[in-house]
Parts: sequence; C-alpha cells; structure tokens
Amino acid sequence: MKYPGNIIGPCFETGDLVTFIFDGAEFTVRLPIVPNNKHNQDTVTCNRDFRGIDTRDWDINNQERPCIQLATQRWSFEDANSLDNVALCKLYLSVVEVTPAARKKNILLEVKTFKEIMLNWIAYATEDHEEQYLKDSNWPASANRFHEKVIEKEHLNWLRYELCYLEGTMPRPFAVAPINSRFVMMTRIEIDSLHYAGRQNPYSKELLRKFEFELFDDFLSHFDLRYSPETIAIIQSLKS
Amino acid sequence: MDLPSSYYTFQKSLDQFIYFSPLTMGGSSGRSVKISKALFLPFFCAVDPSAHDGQAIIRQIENLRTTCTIARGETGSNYTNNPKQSSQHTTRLGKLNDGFSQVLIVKNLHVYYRVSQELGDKSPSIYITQVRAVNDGAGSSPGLYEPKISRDGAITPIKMNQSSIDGKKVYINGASQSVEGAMQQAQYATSDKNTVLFYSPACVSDDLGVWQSKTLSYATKNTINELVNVFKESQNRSVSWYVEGEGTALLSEALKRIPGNLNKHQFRFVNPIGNTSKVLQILTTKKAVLEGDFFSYHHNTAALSSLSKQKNELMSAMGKLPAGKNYDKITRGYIMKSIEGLALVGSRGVPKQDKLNSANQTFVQVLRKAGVYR
Repeated sequence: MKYPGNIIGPCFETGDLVTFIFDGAEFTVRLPIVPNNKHNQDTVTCNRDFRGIDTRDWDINNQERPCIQLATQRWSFEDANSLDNVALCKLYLSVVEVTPAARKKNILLEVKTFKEIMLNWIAYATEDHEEQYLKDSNWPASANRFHEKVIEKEHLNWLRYELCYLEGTMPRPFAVAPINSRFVMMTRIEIDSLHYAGRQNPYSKELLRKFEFELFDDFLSHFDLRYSPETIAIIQSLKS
Repeated sequence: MDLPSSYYTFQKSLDQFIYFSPLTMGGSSGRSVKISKALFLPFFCAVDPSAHDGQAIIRQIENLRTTCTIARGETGSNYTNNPKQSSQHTTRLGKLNDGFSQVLIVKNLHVYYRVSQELGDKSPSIYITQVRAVNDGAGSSPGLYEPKISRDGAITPIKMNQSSIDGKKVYINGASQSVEGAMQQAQYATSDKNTVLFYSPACVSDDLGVWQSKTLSYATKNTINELVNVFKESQNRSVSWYVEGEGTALLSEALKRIPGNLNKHQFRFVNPIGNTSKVLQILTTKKAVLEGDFFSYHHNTAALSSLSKQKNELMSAMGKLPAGKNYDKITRGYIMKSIEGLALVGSRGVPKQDKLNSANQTFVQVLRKAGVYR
C-alpha cells in the first residue's frame, strides 16, 4: 500500500508473519515491525496454540465473555520531509469466546446467525451514540447496521463496521471474522493526529481518517484464515 | 546552566565546546559540528541513541555539517581589551546576535546553533548552543479518565465524573503521547486494572518538566486548574494518588492552590521529575499520608538526573516527615537508602560531561556510554 503524501512508517507488506492455531482453523496475520521508541508498544501474546484451551484465566470483555489480546501495537507515522511524528496508530487484535450454548449451536459458522449475533454485540455497547444518529442519519447506528460491509471470503464472509468508541470522536473501522464455533476474531485500527507545540501538522484530519480506513483494509488483506476439512464440512452443512 | 546566549558569552565559553560525533570532526566530511558540554544532561534526557527517534535526531544534527551559511565577521572577535566590549555594548550586541542563531527542528528537539569561525577553526564551524525538547501529543483533553473494557476486551479510557474517585487509586502521568499510553502506564505502575487516570497532556511536560518554561501555556494552566478542581471536589474523600515523572511538577503547581488539609489523601511517587523535596514539604504541612513504599524508581533518565540534583533537599524533606509507625520506619529507611544510591548513580552518569574532551571522545560517544544509566 502506498501511504498518502509523504507519510512513512511501518507497513504490513514487510511485517512479521504470526500464526495462531485453533481447533479446526489456522489464522495467520502480518504484524508490522514497530520501531523501538519511548511511546511505542509491540505486544504479541506468547500463546499461539489455542487448541482445547482453558479460558478461565482470560480477561473478560464488556459482555463478560472470555477474551484475549492476540496483539496490541502502537507506533507513530512520520512525515518524510520534516521527520515529525504526524499520526499515532493503534492496532488491536483479539479473540472472544462465545457462550457454550452458542458454541453448541455453531452460530458463528452460520452466515445469518453470525451477522445477527455480531450486530447485537456491537449494539450492546454503543447505545450512548444512538443520540448522534437522531441528529445525523449517516452516523453509524443499529438502524443502519453500523455501516456493515461484507468482506467476501471462500467459506465464511467477514464483516466490517464503523464504530464510535468515545463521545465526540469519529467512527473507526472494526472487523470481525469467525474462527471456529468457539471463537470470533475482532480487530480495529485507530489513527490520531499528532501535534507539537508551535508546529502545524501538514495532514488534515480528513486525510488521516481516510488513511485509517485504507490502512485497515490493507491490514485485513494480509489475513489468512484457513479452515480444516471438518470445519468446512460443518459450514457447508449449515449452509444447506 | 550557564549557556552561551550572546556572542560575548559564547566566545567566553568556547573551551566548553566539543565535537558532536566522529562524523562531525571537520576535514573531508564537511564542516565540524560542536556542542556545548553543558547540554549533556538535557540532551541525555531527551535523546535516546538506541531508539528510532534518537537516531533520527543524531543523523539530522550530523547533517548540519553540510550547512552552507557563510560565517559572519563578529564585532570584537579575536580582540582583547576591545573598547567596544563594555557591558552595555555587549548586552545590546548580545541581543542582536541572538537574532542570528539558527534553529534545527527535528522530532521532539529544537537545536539552536550558530555558524562561526573561531580560534583554532580551519573553516566556519557549527556551534550548538542550546537544545529544547517539545513533546508530541494526540491532543486529548486533560482530566480524569476511567478504564472501560470494550467488546474486544481492550481497555478504552473514558472521561469520568470527578465525584466518583472516592476510595480509588488515581494516577497522574508524566510525559505521554496519548491517553491510551498513559492508561497503560497507570495500570503498570499501580498493578491495578481499575486505576483512574488523571491525564496530563504532553505540553504540560514541556512547560513543567526538566526544561521548565518561564511562561506557562494556556493548556498547562488549564491542566493545573483541572487538577485543582479534582482536589477541591475530593478533599474529604479517601484517594490514593500515584504520581509519575513530570506529574510531580504538575502536582506541585496544583498544591499551591489548594487550601486546607489533605489528610485523607495518600501519595506515592514513581520516577518523580521536578522539585520532589518541595512537594514532600507541602504534603507534610497538609497532613497528607506518605506511608509505606511511597517512592519508587524504574529506569528513567530524567528522574535519575532530577534526583541527583536535589538529593540533599530530598533527604532533608524526608527527615521532616511525621514519624512513621511500625514497618513504615523500616520502609522509610530503605527509601532513603535507595535515594542515596540512585543519586550516586545519577551523579556518575551525569558529570561525565566534565571529562568530555574533543581529544578523546565525542559527545555522542559519551552519550552512548552513559546509556547504561538509562
């Protein structure tokens, strides 16, 4: 991906390949090489094998479901002309476990139910922003399915949404993908404009927001999620 | 720090300048670049040669050797007993010459330099006379933030109500680029995922940190007011404060404006930067709780140098604290010993500048060696 203007920084093409193994699936991502800097973060979970894993000591998400951060990264993009840090980029990649009942029903592996459960999960934590939707019908909300976009895949499609995490901030890209009947992958990227006192950032907020979405799509394009023949058989049976 | 701000003082301090790096020693590689030894400490605090940004700063300064500015003939240069060097004349001339200083802005550092040919220079050289750090930040507003777990399990800092910090741990951050980074530091420093953050933006560190600006920016004043309001609202509530880095200087400013006692407030300091001894004195008079392990240090250059500079004052302020109970006596003894040890380490790392000599080592070489004290 070519970055806009003179922006330079870590890129996914040259990132490290990291593979996580699940029951019936193998998930590979490219994580960018984050430079060593005071404010940067580059954390990848030590555990790469999640087959038959016990999730009782995991963190819990806002719906009290066990979850783990596969990777959390934070770095600054620079302007090649001035070498100023112009944008702060935060990358989050995690998996969340569904309830035993949902697992039994294979709801993550069925296109329709996957879409509905994800919409419900997202709407659960975004009630506060419905007010914004009443003022602006283009604002992502349950009514417009948070600008849901289907990312076509061979067996099961992934979903991309636009979500607002904090009041007063613009919606950010967020994506989900079903890993197996037990886990769903969630990921997001956030880009914020950086400023030094007395210096103007040459990149507008609009440009950086566009860059945020393009970078996120680029990140997703480097994902490789492969299902085992058994998982594919379940997906096919649920389709019919 | 006596830095050469005018041409007269610059000339008087020429023996304090050493080569910046092996690449900037003149000859076929370009102009020589020299830097004042007095800048070692501020440079050490702002530039880490092992980090990406530190490397970029060093390379850009080295590139100054390609500067094509023509050296000016300075009035009074190379003369002794020049009648034009009366104090009045040199002051006026100094002001004029200040206008000719040039600045290289790279990353978080402003590098002020002049091009001049002095005694011993074969050609006009670059003299770095001052540096100043300016932190970058994402522009989040100051105030209280609480951690909220999102749908993907990541922790998102959310602005919160002042009145709900009763019985909680509140962390005041040092220099931080973003609220998320500061929240992460808060959880690390307190070993508690529910710690509330008082976010102090990067510009506050510019104004109150080791560089201490004489005039405070509007954003810094606003942050101080926010913290004062938090103290006023929670004065009669029980709060456990963790203060890191430049947060100490911010707390010091806020404490000046808080009337009454803080006897329900407990304080702990992590890598304090600023006048820590003064803060301890004010907290003692306000009857704040300073119990247990209220002081800790984890590899922070600026904190180390700040400690070594004010060791005696700090020890004196600690001696004036109310007598500790039981284990507090032992803990306090350990804290005082650790401050003494840290000050010793800091003083070893810092005055290497006195031994800096162009003949043996350049500025950057010593900076790298001093890296073991980071």
